Amino acid sequence: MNMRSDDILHDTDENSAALRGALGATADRLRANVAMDRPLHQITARGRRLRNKRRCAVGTAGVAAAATIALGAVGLPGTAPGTVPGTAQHPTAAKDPNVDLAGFSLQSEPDGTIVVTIKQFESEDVPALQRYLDEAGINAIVRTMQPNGGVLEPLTCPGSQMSSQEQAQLNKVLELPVDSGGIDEALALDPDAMPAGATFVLFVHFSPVQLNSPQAGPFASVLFGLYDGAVPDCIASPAP
Amino acid sequence: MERTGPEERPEDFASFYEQSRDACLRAVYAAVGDATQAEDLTAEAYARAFAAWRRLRRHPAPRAWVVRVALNTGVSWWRKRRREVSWEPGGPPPDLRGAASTDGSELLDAQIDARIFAALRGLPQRQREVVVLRFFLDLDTETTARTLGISAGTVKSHVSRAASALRRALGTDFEQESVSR
Repeated sequence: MNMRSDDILHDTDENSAALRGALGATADRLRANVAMDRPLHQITARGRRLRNKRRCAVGTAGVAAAATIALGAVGLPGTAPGTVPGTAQHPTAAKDPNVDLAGFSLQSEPDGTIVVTIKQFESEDVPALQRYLDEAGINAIVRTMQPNGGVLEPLTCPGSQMSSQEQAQLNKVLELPVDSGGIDEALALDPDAMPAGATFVLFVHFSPVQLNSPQAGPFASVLFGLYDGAVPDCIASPAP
Repeated sequence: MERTGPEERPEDFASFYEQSRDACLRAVYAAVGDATQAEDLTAEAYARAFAAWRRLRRHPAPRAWVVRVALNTGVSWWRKRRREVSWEPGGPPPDLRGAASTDGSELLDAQIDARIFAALRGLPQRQREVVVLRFFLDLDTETTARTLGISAGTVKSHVSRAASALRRALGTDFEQESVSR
């Protein structure tokens, strides 16, 4: 195995001993005071759901692809003929949330959740994703953040802090990311958990690294929020 | 049809969970510094372990796999919820703010732990993973390297850099804790 000289620059036991010493008392206190109380049956129930969801995703992928081909053959209603699926398309008023575009996909699950996968997402995909989410029963605002565009600003602007109640509600609406098995970002949303009048906010953040390195994926991160009431102006109508 | 999943031998996963859950939770706790979040992330990682148990049971270090999945999930969680994570640098994390007791030494310990957790959170992701696996999950260098898919030399390099970073972040606390051991 090749090893860069930098890798072995400080290869001494002293560092390990120093760290073990500095962290040891804290580790001991954790051993004395921290224990996992989560019952096994909760773990296995969640594990079965994950496994079934993965099987459903595999099983319906072919159906979704076939549906896409069929729609392509007749043309999407309300869409100009010859347009390329995946970017800047405005969806029709169809209520079926299943869609598989280049920029993103939505897939309805038997348990009522909607699996959203962010793929080769571009700014032009924003209105389409927002409308598909709306039609799936998730009142949404979708935004993108470009490099050097003040990444943190939308999250720290006045009034953007979610209340603890909104955070708790977000936890009900948004499941932890589904393992998409690749660089895409997949998440599950539960429309039934959306409070009436609430707005789900989704930011896709691009970074120079991601834009310049296809291997690193097309975007840096996806951030979520939920507002049960008015959405702060700085998020709903960000300054240009 | 071949059956998949842990139903074939559910006692295997149950036994693994029973024997490893506390150690994994502590390792994740050290990295995220929040008891509730640590338990959520660890539970999610175990659920994924259950879903993939047929393959994972042959993994050389399934505990490390659980901790790594929990921390990777945690990275996503934190990025996506960075607004929710806010405590003053160097101050106690939220779930330790109520730890003050009439016993001054307990309060001092809680403050030291909080500073250490905050300092760990300040490390780059890979350094933090190395520190957690090596010093909170007690893995050796070789197993840590295999788990992370890096060389043993790189593990040692991360340990060295983490030691320097924590020494800077913790100041005298680092030296005092090192000496007191």
